[in-house]
Amino acid sequence: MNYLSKIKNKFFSDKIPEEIIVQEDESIQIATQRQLIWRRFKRHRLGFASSIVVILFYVVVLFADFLATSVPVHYGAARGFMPPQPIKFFQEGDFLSVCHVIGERNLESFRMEHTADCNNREPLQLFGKGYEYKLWGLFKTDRHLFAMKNPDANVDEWIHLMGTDKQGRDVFSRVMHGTRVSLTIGIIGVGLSIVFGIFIGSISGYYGGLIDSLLQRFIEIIRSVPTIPLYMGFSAAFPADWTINQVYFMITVIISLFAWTDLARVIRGRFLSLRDEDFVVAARLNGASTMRIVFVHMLPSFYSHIIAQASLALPLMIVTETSLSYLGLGLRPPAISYGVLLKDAQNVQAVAHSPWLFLPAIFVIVVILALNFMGDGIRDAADPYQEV
Amino acid sequence: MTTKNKLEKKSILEVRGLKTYFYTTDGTVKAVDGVDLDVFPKKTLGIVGESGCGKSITTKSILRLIDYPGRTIEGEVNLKGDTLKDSVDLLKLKQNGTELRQIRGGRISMIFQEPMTSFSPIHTIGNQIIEAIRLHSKLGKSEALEFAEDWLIRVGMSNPSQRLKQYAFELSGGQRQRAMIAMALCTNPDILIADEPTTALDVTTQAQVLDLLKEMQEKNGMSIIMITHDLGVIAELADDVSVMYLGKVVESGTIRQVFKNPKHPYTQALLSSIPSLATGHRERLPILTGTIPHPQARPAGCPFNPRCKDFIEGTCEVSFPNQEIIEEGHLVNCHLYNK
Amino acid sequence: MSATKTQNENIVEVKNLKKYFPLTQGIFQKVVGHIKAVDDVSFVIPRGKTVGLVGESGCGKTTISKCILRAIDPTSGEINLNTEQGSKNIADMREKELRPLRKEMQLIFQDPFSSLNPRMNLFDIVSEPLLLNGVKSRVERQDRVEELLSKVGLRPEYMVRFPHAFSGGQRQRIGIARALALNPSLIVCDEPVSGLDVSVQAQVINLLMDLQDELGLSYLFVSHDLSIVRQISDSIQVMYLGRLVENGTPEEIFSSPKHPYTEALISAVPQADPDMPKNHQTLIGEIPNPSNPPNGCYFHPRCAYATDECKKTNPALTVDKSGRSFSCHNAKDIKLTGLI
Repeated sequence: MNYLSKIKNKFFSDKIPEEIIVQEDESIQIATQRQLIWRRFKRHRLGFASSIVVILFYVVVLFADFLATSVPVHYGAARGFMPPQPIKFFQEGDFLSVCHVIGERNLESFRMEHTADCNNREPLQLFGKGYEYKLWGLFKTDRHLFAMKNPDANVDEWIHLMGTDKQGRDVFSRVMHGTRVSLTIGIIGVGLSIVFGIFIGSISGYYGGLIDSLLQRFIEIIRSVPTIPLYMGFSAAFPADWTINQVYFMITVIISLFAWTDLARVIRGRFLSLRDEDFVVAARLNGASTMRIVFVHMLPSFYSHIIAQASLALPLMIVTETSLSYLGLGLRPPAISYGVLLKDAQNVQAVAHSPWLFLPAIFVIVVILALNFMGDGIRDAADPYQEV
Repeated sequence: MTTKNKLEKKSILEVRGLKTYFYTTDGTVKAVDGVDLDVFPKKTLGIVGESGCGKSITTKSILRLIDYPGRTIEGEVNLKGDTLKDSVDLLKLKQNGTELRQIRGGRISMIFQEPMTSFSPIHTIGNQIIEAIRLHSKLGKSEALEFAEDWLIRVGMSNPSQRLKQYAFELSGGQRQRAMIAMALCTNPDILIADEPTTALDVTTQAQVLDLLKEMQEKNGMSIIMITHDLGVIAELADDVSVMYLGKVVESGTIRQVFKNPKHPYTQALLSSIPSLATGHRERLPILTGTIPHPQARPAGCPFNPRCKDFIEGTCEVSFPNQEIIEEGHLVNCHLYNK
Repeated sequence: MSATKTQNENIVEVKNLKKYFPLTQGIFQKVVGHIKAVDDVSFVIPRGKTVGLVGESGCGKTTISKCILRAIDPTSGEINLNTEQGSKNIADMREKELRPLRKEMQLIFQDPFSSLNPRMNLFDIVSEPLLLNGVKSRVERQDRVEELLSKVGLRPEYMVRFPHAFSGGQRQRIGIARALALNPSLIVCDEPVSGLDVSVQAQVINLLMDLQDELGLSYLFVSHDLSIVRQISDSIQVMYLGRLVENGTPEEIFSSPKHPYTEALISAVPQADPDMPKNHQTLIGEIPNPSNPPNGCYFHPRCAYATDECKKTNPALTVDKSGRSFSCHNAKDIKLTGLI
């Protein structure tokens, strides 16, 4: 090996070499995991676009009353089954106006027939005055996104952007309120199942052994209970004199009682794999307490997974609520939710003659897809060892 | 490619100017960037290099196993037959066509680092070997079974008829690698590509597998392309060696030419940085400074220039050096030897 | 020995260490058997020296290092840690008493990717041991982290960066800096370079040797790579199926092995020299399942020199005149070859 001795002097140095960092982008090197996840998520086009849709939906949740034109429970038999109104822009000095829709009973079929008369229009005003409501239960106001210019006109009579239902209630306003109810049930339900899931999942995963086995069997038992009959039982057990709010709260709790098991399993799995991860062992050998290990080292390592899992659980919650209400087991009128709204579109006749009653379904589909894509996007972005 | 100094020896597989790039959202990664290789009949070619040098991508490109976002954009992979007519350029064949599938697993077989993942967990070892045999021959089911058993005996598996009924996870690492070799060789290939076949094994098992490969080569006369980062394994098995760094072959030649008289500063550094018999107790080994660059931040010119002890300013960071002939068969890409 | 006379010259003395893992079945974890991962092992780690521990995967070498660090609880035996406060048996010490002693022993991990928390920057990673051991002042910790980073060859400015910005070799340096934070006496290196590229391995090995010279550290160097163990160790322990089968200096082990297993291990290592003879002393079969070891000498089914006695009785570890110990019935009768 004489070449070795020859070249040895060239290489040999007592000094530890200064390392060369080739990756020049300083911002990436000092970026936290959260920033990296955000960077990757922005690059996930479908997920990012879907998250904008989801945000829009939650804006609706926050401002349902502001967006609604009329009180969603105001009815009038005379204006039942009105189709969506044509909307006109920049007509005769009015920025926005809606055409009158005139109903006439067909004397042969005895059915109301509606025609839009765009020569008679009702001018609209943005941020005008409408019915009075309390924003977030705090501020009394009567401002709405769309309101009548004419302060004396009855909104219930004139603005039906998405038509009316059988009782003449404004579908658009009802969808806005339904969105609020359905999406809050989703988010509160997910919140509750995250709490249950993290609690049970961490105990199961951190301690392992017998506790883990028992908790896992418990989860399996819960998962094996057929849900629909159980919901029926619960629903029947609700006292008849409960207010809408009480029923609403109980439905949320019941849904999350069954939904937490998935999350608990995911968290348990992450705990089990992280427990033996070297950096956790290192912290333990340096005398870190159990609390510090769980809250400083373990939980932060998968909160992005929890967020991803939660955003994938959300649509499931919404669908569950919708299905339950549709079957009459969940919320019941006068409460409004996607399920309640779709119940109106139950019979074929309604769909055939007044297809706009089916519009809430489109909202359900859009929000569910958007939540799913967003969840996928977060999950993909959250993989900590992916290339930057 | 202009240098044809190996005319005396006729190669069985000739790779020329192979380029495989990966088009990721963060930019293009030139995983394999103009690679030339020659595999000679009944000889072993070792491809040695560290992580990110493109050694695995090279062999995957040869077998056309590159998936999106990667693409082999240029080059020739000539698999030679007995006559000129039998020769094919693998890169010109239809992706997933019959011809290509006949060559994969037929004339060229492959074994991997972790045989666990290359065996299906839901089929027995026997069924998978039989399937491989019947894909590339006209044997009937019972004949194929006999043939498979015969092969398991040849690779030194104890209790072969029992092994045929077992699943991959029921075997130990060494046994799995033996079964993998049996499956790869049962179609009597001309070339066996071995991608780090012993990296996951213990030294004693590694020695068994290396001995087995040598024995099989003697008996069956196939060529082997051995990919590894372990210089010891290369020295043990290979007849010829190509040293790769960041997608390029920087030095190639016979094992003695490259290991005894390394010319490229990278080869020299690599060989001197591993402890050997000559290393004294607590002796500091000469070290290669720096680290392997990020794949998207490859240095311009010669990719090795930021770590090179013989860096020539104004030359090395400007252009990739031409291939220079040190002696017959010993080629090096380095500006130092530019005449 | 530069250490004071009151201190024992061995940093760690392991006596009759045993670690059995129970094999359980069913929901209620009924114990149906034991895996004897470490079975009656005794050795010492001299102060300021490196002890190499070699063997195939599953031989129990990692279990020994985990027991010494008390990452797991040994089944029985003694682990005497000799510090300035005197000698203490930490084998069955409770966590509370153990905590002040933990700073004497640190670990360098094999996988440089999982050993650093991806959500912490270098400062938080390297200073965590300080924080946990009562260094509350941020300025003080910052000074120490700067010192440690420059000691392992990283620029102090890198403190704000996150692990993902670094390559494997650089991450291993970060791990070393963390291990040094509390001025330990013993560092257990568990395959510290096997996850690294060949060209980077030498950097880390050189760094480990430099640090040992500078700080008087003692190393337990666990590895399957005999060449590296030979280069860095002052003495080598060879392990097979939970038992030590031979020990000696690298010189002794490699030039004249006394146990057939050592001979086989040495001959199996491929050398990067095409002129080396390539005749392996190939072992038959593979390492047996430790839950069901063979009778007699554990090595006899794979041993080329096995006699009838080997099948019946398990040889004890005996010390010969030169002070080397090995466990083989036929040591006197067989002639084993090492490296030339």
